[in-house]
Amino acid sequence: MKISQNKKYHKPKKLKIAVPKGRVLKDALRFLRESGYIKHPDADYDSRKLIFDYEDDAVSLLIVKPLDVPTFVEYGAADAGIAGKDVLLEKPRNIYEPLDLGIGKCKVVVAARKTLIFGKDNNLKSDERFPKIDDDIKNKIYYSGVNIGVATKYVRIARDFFNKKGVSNVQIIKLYGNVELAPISGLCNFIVDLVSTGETLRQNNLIPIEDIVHVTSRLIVNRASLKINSADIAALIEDLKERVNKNEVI
Amino acid sequence: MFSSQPPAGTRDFLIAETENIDSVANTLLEEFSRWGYGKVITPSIDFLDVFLLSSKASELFKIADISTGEMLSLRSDFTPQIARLSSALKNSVALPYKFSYFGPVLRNLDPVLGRPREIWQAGVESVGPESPESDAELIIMGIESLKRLGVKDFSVDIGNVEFFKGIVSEIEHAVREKIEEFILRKDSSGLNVFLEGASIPLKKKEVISELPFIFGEKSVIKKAWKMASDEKSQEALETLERILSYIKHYKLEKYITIDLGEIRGLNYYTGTIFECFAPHVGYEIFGGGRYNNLIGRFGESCAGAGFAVNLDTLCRYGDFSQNGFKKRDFLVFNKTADKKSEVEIIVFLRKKGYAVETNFMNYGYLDIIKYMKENRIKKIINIAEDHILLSDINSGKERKYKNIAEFKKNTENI
Repeated sequence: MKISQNKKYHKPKKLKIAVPKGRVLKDALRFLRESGYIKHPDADYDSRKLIFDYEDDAVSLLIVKPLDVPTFVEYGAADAGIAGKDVLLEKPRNIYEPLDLGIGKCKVVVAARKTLIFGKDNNLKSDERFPKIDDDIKNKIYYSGVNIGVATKYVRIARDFFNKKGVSNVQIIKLYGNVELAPISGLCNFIVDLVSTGETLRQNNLIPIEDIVHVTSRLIVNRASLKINSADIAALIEDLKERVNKNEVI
Repeated sequence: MFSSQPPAGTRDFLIAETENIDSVANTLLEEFSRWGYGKVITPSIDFLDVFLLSSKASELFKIADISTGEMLSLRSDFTPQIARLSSALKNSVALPYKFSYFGPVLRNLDPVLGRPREIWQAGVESVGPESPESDAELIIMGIESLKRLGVKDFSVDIGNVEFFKGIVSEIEHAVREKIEEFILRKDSSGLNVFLEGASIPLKKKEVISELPFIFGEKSVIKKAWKMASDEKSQEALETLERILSYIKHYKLEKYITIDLGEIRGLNYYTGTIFECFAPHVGYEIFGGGRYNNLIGRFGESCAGAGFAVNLDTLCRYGDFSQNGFKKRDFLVFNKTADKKSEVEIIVFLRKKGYAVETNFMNYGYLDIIKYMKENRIKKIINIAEDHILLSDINSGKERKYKNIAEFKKNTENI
């Protein structure tokens, strides 16, 4: 029998944490630094290298695409990770999510082409604030019976949302980026996308119709890892929780 | 052209992988038999309702029976089938029943998740006993099986769903379901926000908000006793303590971790639950528990418990096939018209128990050597017009025989 296995897992081994590239990275690193888990400045975690295992850091980091964080964690390639609630809802995974870190605040919304709501001769200027969309307008555009095309990277969230509303004839079009382009180019009338300030929507003549879910980043943990390294994981949760509470006080 | 890949979530196992899985399954079944378990085979399809006892409707591969119109499903889990067959035996055969099984289960998961939809499992069901010690024996058997396979680093996490059920027993159903969702994901932040707005006594709230974090070493049981104010959860802790003490007699306590906040399969399990984990293998290697309400669904109620080993997960951990890739012995290479001699040699060697094959692809000598190396065939028997040449392609050692009679006579040190 030849079995390749890591014989030293009982010895304290550094936890591997998957951190999302992009929007939330800076906050996530700050969080880990202020909780004492990493020591280096941001620049040290920003190179073509994607694994960072500094000797003086208490954890090693994998920097991966936000949508991939839960995948790395579920399969046990990382013990824990930081993932947006949007990602967790889009791809429900068999993982634990013990802590809301309160960082990376934004929301997933449904938005529609401005002309769809107000007609072609609308008198809204493109720099005007988003008008309030009341239920009448919503009903008119959701339940008109015509085929509703929705471009999104969040296929599941969009599908569940329209299912719950009982909107029929929804056609979901999966895109991988620049979703706002879809209505402008005539691909469809609606999008479901992540919004933080709304600036991108405004610039692309899109109007948010309603919020689907408010999003923050969560600490997620691999199930096996929590059981096997229970003390380390419990300490990680505890330390980060302390940091979160501090944030709330300030 | 057809796709060369099977449907998403399924896969082909090539020879080496198949040998690995078979070998693990054989070792497990053999180990189970030492504890008195005998293997049974259940059909690959069964009534939809049977599988609905342990699986979600959306995750079943459903089929309609064209003769009766009844809904059937491909097997998603062995346990309800074994519960059914146990129930059928109850009038004629005395308890306990100890069954083992081996085969694939199919779960129609969203391929987007990238999880296998066909999972090979070997497992056991123990029907009749319901003492904590019988739970312990299942856990011990799981540990011993892995030890026998040479797996070293793993732990078995034990919980008891009755602990949670007891704590939330007085809470209104809809609220309880919400709490379950949070606890299942150990979503402590979400749980606390939810509890703030729920009308539950403050003391209870404090206990519930602790639930995601009662995991770790044996010492968490102390903490759990302080949380258990009702009979049901106290009984669960007593059961757990008796299990641990039985495991201690086997000197296997170092493999055990505890998680009383683990509540998977809450509507299905009725007591002890356990799962085995290994480092760097994200999923459980085996998992199971007590299901005392299952068999009663088919008639008279009867206690039951069991577990299933996920063979793909286990095999990802290492190569367990007995001698690595099985080696093959001989290839007969014959470019002459004398097929009679070829067959005579083949039949002679096979009778002696060797694996022998021949060259129907009509390869030349160099190609056949390449084929042999790829397939780990050790020796080539080259039939020429006036002699037979036996060579070992690895060592280069050769022996020449004048004819078949001489070849047969000198096969002792072949």
